[in-house]
Amino acid sequence: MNKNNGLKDIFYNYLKRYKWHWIIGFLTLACATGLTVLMPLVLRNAVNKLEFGGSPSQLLTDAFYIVGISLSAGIFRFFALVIVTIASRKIEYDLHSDFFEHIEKLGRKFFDKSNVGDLVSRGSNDVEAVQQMHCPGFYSLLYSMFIIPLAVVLMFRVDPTLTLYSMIPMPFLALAVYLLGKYVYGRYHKIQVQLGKLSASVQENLWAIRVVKAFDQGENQIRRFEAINNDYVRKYMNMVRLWALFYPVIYMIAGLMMLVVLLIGGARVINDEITLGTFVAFVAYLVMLVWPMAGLGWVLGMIQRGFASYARLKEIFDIEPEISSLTETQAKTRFKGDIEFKNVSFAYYNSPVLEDISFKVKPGQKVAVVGATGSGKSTLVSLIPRLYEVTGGSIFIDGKDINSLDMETLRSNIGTVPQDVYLFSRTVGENIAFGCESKPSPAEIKTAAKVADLLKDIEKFPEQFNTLVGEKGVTLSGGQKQRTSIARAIIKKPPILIFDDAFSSVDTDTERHILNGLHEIIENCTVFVISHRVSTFQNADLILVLDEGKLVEQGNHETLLAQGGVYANIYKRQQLTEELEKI
Amino acid sequence: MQNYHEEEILGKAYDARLMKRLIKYLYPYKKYVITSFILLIIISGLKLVGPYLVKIAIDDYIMAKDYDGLVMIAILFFAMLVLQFVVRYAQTYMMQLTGQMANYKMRMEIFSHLQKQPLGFFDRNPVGRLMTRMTNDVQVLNELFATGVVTIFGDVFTLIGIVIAMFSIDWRLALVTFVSLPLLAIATAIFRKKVRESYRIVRLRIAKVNAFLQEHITGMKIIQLFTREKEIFDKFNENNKLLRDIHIKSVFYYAVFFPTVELIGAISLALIIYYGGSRVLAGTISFGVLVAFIQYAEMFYAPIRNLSEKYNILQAAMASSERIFKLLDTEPRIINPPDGIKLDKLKGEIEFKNVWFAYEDENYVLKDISFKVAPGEKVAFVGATGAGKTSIINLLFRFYEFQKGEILIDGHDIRRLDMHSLRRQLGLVLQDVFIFSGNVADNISLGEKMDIAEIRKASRRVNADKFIEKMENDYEADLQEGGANISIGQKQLLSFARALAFNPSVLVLDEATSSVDTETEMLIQDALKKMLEGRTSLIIAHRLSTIRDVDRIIVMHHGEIREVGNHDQLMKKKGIYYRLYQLQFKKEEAKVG
Repeated sequence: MNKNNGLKDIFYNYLKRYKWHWIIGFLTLACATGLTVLMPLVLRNAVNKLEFGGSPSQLLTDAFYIVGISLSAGIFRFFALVIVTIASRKIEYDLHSDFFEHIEKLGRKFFDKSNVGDLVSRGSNDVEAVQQMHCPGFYSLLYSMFIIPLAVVLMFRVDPTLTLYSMIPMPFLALAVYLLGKYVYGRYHKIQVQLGKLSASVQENLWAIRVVKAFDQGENQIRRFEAINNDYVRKYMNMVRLWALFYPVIYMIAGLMMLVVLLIGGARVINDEITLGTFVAFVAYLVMLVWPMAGLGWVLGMIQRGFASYARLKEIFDIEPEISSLTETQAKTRFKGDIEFKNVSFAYYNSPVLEDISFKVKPGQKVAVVGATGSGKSTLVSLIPRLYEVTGGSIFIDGKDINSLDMETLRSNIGTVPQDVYLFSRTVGENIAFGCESKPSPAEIKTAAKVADLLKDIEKFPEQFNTLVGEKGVTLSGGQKQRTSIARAIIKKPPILIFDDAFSSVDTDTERHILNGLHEIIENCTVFVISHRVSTFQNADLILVLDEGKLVEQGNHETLLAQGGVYANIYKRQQLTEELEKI
Repeated sequence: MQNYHEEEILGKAYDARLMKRLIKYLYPYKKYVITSFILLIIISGLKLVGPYLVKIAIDDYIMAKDYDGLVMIAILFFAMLVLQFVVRYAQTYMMQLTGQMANYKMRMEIFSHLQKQPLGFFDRNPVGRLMTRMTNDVQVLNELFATGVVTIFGDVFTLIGIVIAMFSIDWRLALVTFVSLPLLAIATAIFRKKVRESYRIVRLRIAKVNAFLQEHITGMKIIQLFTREKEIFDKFNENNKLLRDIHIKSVFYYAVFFPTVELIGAISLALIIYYGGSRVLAGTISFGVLVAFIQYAEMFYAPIRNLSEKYNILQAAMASSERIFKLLDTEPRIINPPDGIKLDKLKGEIEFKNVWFAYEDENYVLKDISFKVAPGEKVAFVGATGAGKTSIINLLFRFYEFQKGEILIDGHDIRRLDMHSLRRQLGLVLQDVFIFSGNVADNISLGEKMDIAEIRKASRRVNADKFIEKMENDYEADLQEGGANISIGQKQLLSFARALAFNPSVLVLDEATSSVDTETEMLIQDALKKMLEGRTSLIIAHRLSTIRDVDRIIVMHHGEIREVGNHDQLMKKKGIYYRLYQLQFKKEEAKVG
């Protein structure tokens, strides 16, 4: 119940933003409909004149009425459709915009467990379903709601008895369309599920194409796909068996109404109870009523889907931003880069990832974080820009608790190169400039590229910095992507830099070269680096050794090596792996 | 008539060639298509019967006050309704079935076509793009097959029928009714042109908004880390706004067109009333004729209103079929020789003779490579990343075609061997193990008919049986996507079992570098030894123990073979291998020792 109320709220919230559109649309549509229902009356008039003697000039008047009514109804209908469409498209625009804005506020935890495809589908398909509900959905609904009572009232005034008889099949029409719509939708859903399976099997095949070929499994894969494909067709035809009833049923019921009018109306004309003109008017009304009636069932289905989509959007809107300090921007300050972790713990969905971590870093120090896979290195550094919120203890930058800092100030002081490189399909230059709040000069972009050891690559590109990245442009190698990501992080010269396993696709020399070059452009920057390379971590001012979420050792290379503990072990193993990698 | 021509011209404007090719997919279902067409003609005819029956009812019975005759007509009318119901249902069902069968065939064709493509093709075509061909584009064609084309024909039949019916009842009144037709033709032509343009832009902008969502939701972490939310949001809204505006702009065409068609219909109706009415008064036509004309005129304008929708379907279908055909027209660059030599069992002699190979253009990654591996010999390839080790595997499996030189298997040119029988005799173990959705047994047999005993035997031999049997349902245990529920080491053991279950004559092994726990490592080492036993083996070696056990080591550097020999010989030579070894294996040796 509560949930439904929320759904109503969101619905009214968007609807009432354009209340004038709806009101004017409503009125113009009412005028158009009011005029349209007059048409059969004109027809009746004309036919009556034929039956009881009239002149061609009187008929000419009726002919002008017909054209006049159609013209004025058309003008109203034009405005109604345009205005309602505008309202529906504006709602679509707002939903798109609000959806994206909301997504932008959500934290990492949300993205970790959501699927991009699903989010995109909500942002596109569901928004579209809502738009469709408003127009043509509500437009047709309003039209049906005007024309049906109006026509019935007018029919009633002409001949109540005939109206009652001819209306008998009407409710069945709406019911049949509604029920069919409902069951077809159920079967349609099954088709969608099967389509998902079909896609998944193709995707798997493509991903595994090397294995498929090596084991000569093409034929088997085709057979496997054939079975799924067959199943899909079977499910589809299952839906068609019902869906194919749709129009035949509509025509059948409309035909039955016509039959009633023919039989009973005809008898009444024979008995002189009604005129032939009335009979003709009735036929015209029936023609006029069939589609709005059938449309009612169709619209109900559309509205149902629209609300289902609203519910899916609401699910997203209801997720509170995990980190809620996007407050008023404080005056942006530049940090010195003094960082302290004080008894920091972090649990991810109640399972502890980091426990009681404490250390201090002075401005300009280089901190290496080492440890086995899954020991919590990435999590540790992602707490600094508040990608995740600590669950215990505090992190201080320049003596201030980061939770008290404005998020924009915090993040603009930190340059991060994440493990998973992600570039946008823009030019290389734009991808690097992405790291800057203000538009950087070409010289700044060039410097950043140079420090990231990317310049020589870019100079070989067809359009240098203006070369598009991605499918439409050049395909960058893994190393080039990673170095672009590095350039993006350093271009704004932040006092704190985080390299989260950011050198995996570049060689040792380049890694050393880049790290050494940093200080040339950023004075006294604090650097966190997660790296497997001995050359990188053995030169660090501070080495943090993580083991299963605990900070087991900290200090510099010599001290830690002398301890002969976890670090010494890691050092030896890493040295080994590193050399193996070089083959 | 007019309409039919316009549709045809439109088809040509889009591409008659594509249409012709599309229709070929319906050939196998000729019977259905023809039946469906006949049914369609029947429906069009039946539609016309209704108004005609009403005309007879008025003229012959109601005006004549013959109630029994009216009941007769009503019974006929009812019979017509029932017949129409059945025929309509049958026609829809049959056409949908045809559409689905055509789609089914098209999907099979695309899938099979993809299986024929060499690996290079997949380098050039990302998975996402191929998926779109397979799902969205085929879906669009379904609309065309199942609804679009046929309803156009149905409408045409109906229109022709109406024209014939009207002319045969009274040609003068029919002529007057159709006086407004040129107006309709003009309105439709203008509308079609406008809608075609705006539809294209609408599709484009929808695609842009969706692509933007896709790209930026995927990259949200970067946006948030660099506090670019506002800038990206503004950019999104730019696209969003463009979409809204084109939608609003295009609704004008619809909002003008629909009332215009109605108005033209009203003009026809007015003419019928005036001219027809005058003639009724003059007694030259009957009353029923007038009523029938009113109904026919109403019928005539209905299909025209649906025109825009069909237009969009047709337009989308042309674009989709173009893309699909382009994919299907990509000839595989490596073709299985039609009368290739089929070898049941390989001796395992492999010879590369002056082989040159580049993935693209002239960037050779293998330069003048020559070596010979004797049956049963174990050869390791050593070298830095990018030295060309993997390319050798790629050529041996005919994943790629080499440019110069010759590769001989048991003395036969590899290009003359049947590709399938060749691959059957080669076993491949890759660094990254791909786990298919399905259970453990499926992942070993890969869908090949295999005895569970064989699967068990292969697993036991490579020490994979222990972990498998520990799982619930052991060989029937479901593996999660990407094998998320088993460890990297276990995946490797599974891939060994997979390779061994196919009992290859030659084993090609790209050793995994990822570190696993000591216990698994020992199982892997032991399994490796057993797998290599008695088989010609090519190994891209990363482990010291493997290097020690091979008969010969080929050292590659920048696409060339620089040194060949066994471990001791190469060490004595103090060349590249020696240096590689110094660098890479010394520590391990120390550790092992």
